Amino acid sequence: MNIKPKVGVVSCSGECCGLGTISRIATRLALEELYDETVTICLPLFLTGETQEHGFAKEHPTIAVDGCGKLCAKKAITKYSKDPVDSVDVEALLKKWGVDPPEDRRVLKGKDLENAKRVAKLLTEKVEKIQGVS
Amino acid sequence: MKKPILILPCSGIGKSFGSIARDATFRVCDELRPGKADTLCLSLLVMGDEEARNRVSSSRCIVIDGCPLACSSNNVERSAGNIVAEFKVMDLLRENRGLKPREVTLLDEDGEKLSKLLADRIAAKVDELTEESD
Amino acid sequence: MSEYTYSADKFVFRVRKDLLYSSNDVWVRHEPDGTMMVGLTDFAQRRSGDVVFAEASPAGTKMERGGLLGSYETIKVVQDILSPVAGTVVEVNPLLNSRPEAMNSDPYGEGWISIIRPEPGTGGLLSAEEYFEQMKTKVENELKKIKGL
Repeated sequence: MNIKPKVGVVSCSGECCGLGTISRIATRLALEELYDETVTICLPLFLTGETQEHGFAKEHPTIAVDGCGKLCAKKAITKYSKDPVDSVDVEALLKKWGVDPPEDRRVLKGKDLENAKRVAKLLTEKVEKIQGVS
Repeated sequence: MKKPILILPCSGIGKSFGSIARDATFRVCDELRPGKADTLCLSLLVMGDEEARNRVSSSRCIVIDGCPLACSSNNVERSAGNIVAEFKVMDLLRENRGLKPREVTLLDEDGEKLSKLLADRIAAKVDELTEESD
Repeated sequence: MSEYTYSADKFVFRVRKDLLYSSNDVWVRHEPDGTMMVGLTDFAQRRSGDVVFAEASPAGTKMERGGLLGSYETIKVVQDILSPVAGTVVEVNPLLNSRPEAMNSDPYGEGWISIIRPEPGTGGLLSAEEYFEQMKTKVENELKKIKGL
């Protein structure tokens, strides 16, 4: 019997820059790792007012993954359901790690893809912490 | 310098169509028509960011919807965006029946092909719109 | 409209109480003129994904129960639609050609597939409650498949 709670993840896919690409890919990689334990909620759909998405976020712990300090995902979750239990700000994280944001926003390669994987790993750890397995 | 055409993809994180819409947008803005086309975060727009709202209402917008939920066109319309063209990834899929873009995180071969086809179509539209205003 | 609903993850699966069903995830509505309108259930359309193409046997086709009423294609699957009753196809939804996504957005409404004139004595359909129970089991099995159990 699976007693670990499902965790929702709402990620930005910000088209303005590569930070949104890292945010998106990191979330997808974490989802692939924890497929039956996380539910990825599409931010544009969430913002449109799709009630099933809002309902899930109200009932389950949800993590916001934002590309930059504008924090669209975090604000959206707070506005439409309740405060997220945790959040990731990719821009702040990269600065903390002392790495540059990606130049290419379409394709992540090399160190940019490694950074996305690093964010994915952090996100996975956050999910597991919420579930009480770490 | 003329105002660039704004391209707003849906970027839905749950389906390959969102990845294709996003990828095609970057191809047009960064590779095929740099300076003539630009994009901005759909989420930022829907969250009410004033700069984003001003840009969509004062620019000519091309929307790309990944799936029939039509998050991009719906959200841009609601934000009083000036939509001059709409593209649907599903329509392109119907024209190219042999293609099965399954991967979401990183586009597979069929996803790349569809993205290129879509990008070429959008670039042609950008040219048409740019000529109209010349 | 009165419905049974079942939640799994962020999805809510709907079964309309005023319809009958087959085990192959097709709903049936009795029309006043004795024909039957049929379509895909909400569960079927969600499981399959966005419909890109759909086609149905043309008007005039004689159908066995369980016969091939039509098919639809998503990027995941090509799926047969099996007739819930024996009879003759009277009409096919023109939207299947022009807007097959209606099968996803409104499976119980404008996404209908065919209208069939059933043969006399047609029965064997499931009540909404019976189908709802079957559907719940199918949802759980799908989730187990995803988890690799």
